[in-house]
Amino acid sequence: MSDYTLETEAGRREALRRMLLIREFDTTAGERFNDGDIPGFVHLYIGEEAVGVGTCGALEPEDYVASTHRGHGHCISKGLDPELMMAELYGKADGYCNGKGGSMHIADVEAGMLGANGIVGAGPPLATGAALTIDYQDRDQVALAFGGDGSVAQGQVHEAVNLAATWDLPAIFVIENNQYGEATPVEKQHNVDNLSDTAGAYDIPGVTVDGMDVTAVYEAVSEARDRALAGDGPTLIEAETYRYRGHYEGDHEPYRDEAEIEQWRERDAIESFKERLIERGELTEAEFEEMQAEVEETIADAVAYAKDADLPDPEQAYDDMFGEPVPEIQQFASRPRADGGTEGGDPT
Amino acid sequence: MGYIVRMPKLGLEMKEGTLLEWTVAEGEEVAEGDQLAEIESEKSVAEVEAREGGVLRRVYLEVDQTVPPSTPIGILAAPDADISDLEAEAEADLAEEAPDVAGVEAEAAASAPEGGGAAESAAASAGGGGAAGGASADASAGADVKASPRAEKRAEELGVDLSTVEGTGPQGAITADDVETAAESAPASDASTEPADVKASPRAEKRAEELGVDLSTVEGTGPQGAITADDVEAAAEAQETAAAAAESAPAARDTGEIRRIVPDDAAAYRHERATAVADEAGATALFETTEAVRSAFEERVTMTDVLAVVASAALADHPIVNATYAEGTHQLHESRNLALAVDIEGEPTAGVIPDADELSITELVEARQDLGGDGGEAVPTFTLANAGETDAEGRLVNEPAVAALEVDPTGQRAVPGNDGVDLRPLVTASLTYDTRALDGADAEAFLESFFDHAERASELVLGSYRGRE
Ligand SMILES: Cc1ncc(C[n+]2csc(CCOP(=O)(O)OP(=O)(O)O)c2C)c(N)n1
Ligand SMILES: [Mg+2]
Repeated sequence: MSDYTLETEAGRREALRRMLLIREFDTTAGERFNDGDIPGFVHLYIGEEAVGVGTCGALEPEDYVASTHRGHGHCISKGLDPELMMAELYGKADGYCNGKGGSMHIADVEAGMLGANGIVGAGPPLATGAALTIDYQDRDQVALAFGGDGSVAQGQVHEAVNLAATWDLPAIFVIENNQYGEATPVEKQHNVDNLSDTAGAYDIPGVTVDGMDVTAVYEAVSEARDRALAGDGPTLIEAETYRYRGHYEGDHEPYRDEAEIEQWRERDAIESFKERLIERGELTEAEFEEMQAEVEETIADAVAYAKDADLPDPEQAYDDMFGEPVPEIQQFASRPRADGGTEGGDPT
Repeated sequence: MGYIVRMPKLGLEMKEGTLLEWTVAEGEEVAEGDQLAEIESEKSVAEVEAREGGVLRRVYLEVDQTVPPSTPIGILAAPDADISDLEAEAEADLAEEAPDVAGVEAEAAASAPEGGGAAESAAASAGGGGAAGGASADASAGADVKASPRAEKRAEELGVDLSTVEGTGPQGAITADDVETAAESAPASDASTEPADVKASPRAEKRAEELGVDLSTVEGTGPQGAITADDVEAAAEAQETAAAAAESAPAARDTGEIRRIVPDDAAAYRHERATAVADEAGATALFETTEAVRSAFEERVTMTDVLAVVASAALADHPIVNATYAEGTHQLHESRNLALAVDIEGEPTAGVIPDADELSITELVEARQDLGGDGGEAVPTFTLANAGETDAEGRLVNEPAVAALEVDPTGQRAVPGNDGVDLRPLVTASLTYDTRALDGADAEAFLESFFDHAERASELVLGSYRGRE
């Protein structure tokens, strides 16, 4: 997938396309989950597209990204293939993690995607670690972590930001403040007005931007990236955004009402960016519809591909778990199997 | 384009959903995002929305029918679209899910040809855990009886033969109320409540019916403790001998939802009571956990909920307390059906929360708040009373269950403080138990375990808070 930057007309159109792709991917993932096709949980990114797309638009392909449990949008922004992502959601062997990870564990280290993560707040330590590697090897890259508003209260996030700040590592922390951690509104989780205020504790820049504005996010991350590359250390960016769907699919959402969701929808990131591009003469309504149709086709193809793909071989169950062989696991893996097979997988 | 509307899967643990209402009629047009139907699952109501504009062309599920998630419930498509492929797919799915549902519901659902509650199965195809306790046809119900799914469920629980019940519902269909009325007027003896966790071979079941043996009282010697026909015969013999000697067995309980606690004098003589006092760590943990949970994520939590979680943990350690006693048999139960004593309009009442050990704290809160409504239908296996919240006192044991725990967190203990006396919380717990099943040492061991668990109440409650990843 092509790289994009919001500095050029083509890049802006690509940004819009990626936002549409995320929305279509997650709308479809929600429906497929609802119909019982997808095992496990899905947390949808619908409403927050501008944060992922604006952020990754400011990165280069070789930069690292650590994601969250709500990670489909980050993956698409970073250029991962929706077909392989959908296959992973379906638990199929062709998926990014051979179908053994699912929605919350999509990773592609070669593409710079260090992984979605089921553990709230586990992304920042990965980014700090990657940034340390970059620093140590003196490479021209940055490592960026996404985290939710909820993650800011996690101890390991504090450790990660503190260390990155103390060692001036080329890291960026993007906090997606979507107003809730599960059912708890952000005011009931934190004592600060803006989550970017916490940056003061580490003596690093902290900014709060409109996360419904893809350009604003892009600009903030671009600046942070320049800073990181110059050896001036990390930046903490809070993007104010909103998830339109429940915390997870099936969430009954007793903690908010329709009117609140409607208010945010009125500021919809895709709608407003599309209007802006049309105003600037960079897009026509017809081109937008064509783009939308293409995106729908891409995702429909991804679903068809994922449905059709094979499930992983049971023998792979113990693969990819440990770097070094673990005797106990090996022993376990070589037990006779219920389905008649006898070969265990390679537990390394 | 058109699509098959399916019973939505809401969250990971949903096993089945019931259609409460079609908000549009078959043949009616809707826009994308409009509500099509309302469904209920695990006491929550959810909307089914139209994913695209179109006409509700087919309806496969009737109001009150219950099916597992992903079962086709209708088809939405453009008014003139060819839906034969969608129909074929939906009908194939329905047929696959319910190969032999020909009975009750299909009959009742005259306008929904394939409607018959694609019951039991689809959990497997959905890759989800657990048997989908499907809605529908009970073979015993006779092919031409019309009954709602809830009525069938009730009939099974109360041991009512549907063919003997007069229906007052639409088109003469039998409602759950009809079943309950029939159960009340029927002689109590046969309406025994067979716990769902009895394993028996088909032959054993047949033999049990012939010999009038309650399977829940039979000890199984077959594979995995399943009851064999021989076991049934042995039990029948023992039963006869015992019947001659024993006092008349306590009547099987009505399993009605809410039961008033009426002191049962006849039972009193076989009930004993053991009491213990929590040490300070346990007492403090109970209060602090309640407060912490309340302020952190569930404002509706009361001490009663915390006590329920702690009691459930103690029951896991002492399965002999989570039990019933009937007809000379002390029967242990896998599911912890907790009768909770609460005051409703000043009257001490006990409502049953089935499988309390499987509930998250939020679900527990909701189940407790729901007790005033038409709550649990399960047979209680244990009773809990929070003396701070109910006047129910003493003889709380909900027979055939063998024990009841009453916890009083309202006490105070004076301890010497810096300047004079400090008041600290004092928590006492009393176990009332049926002496035919338990003895004093059992009761003391249970209370000790209860207070041990109380000390790690927050851990237990957080464990029962199934944080959604
Ligand atoms: C360490 C840890 N604690 C708790 C959870 C359960 N959990 C999953 S998502 C979530 C809320 C996270 O909120 P936030 O960081 O704001 O992300 P959002 O879901 O809003 O995107 C929680 C508490 C978890 N997965 N990991
Ligand atoms: Mg959040």
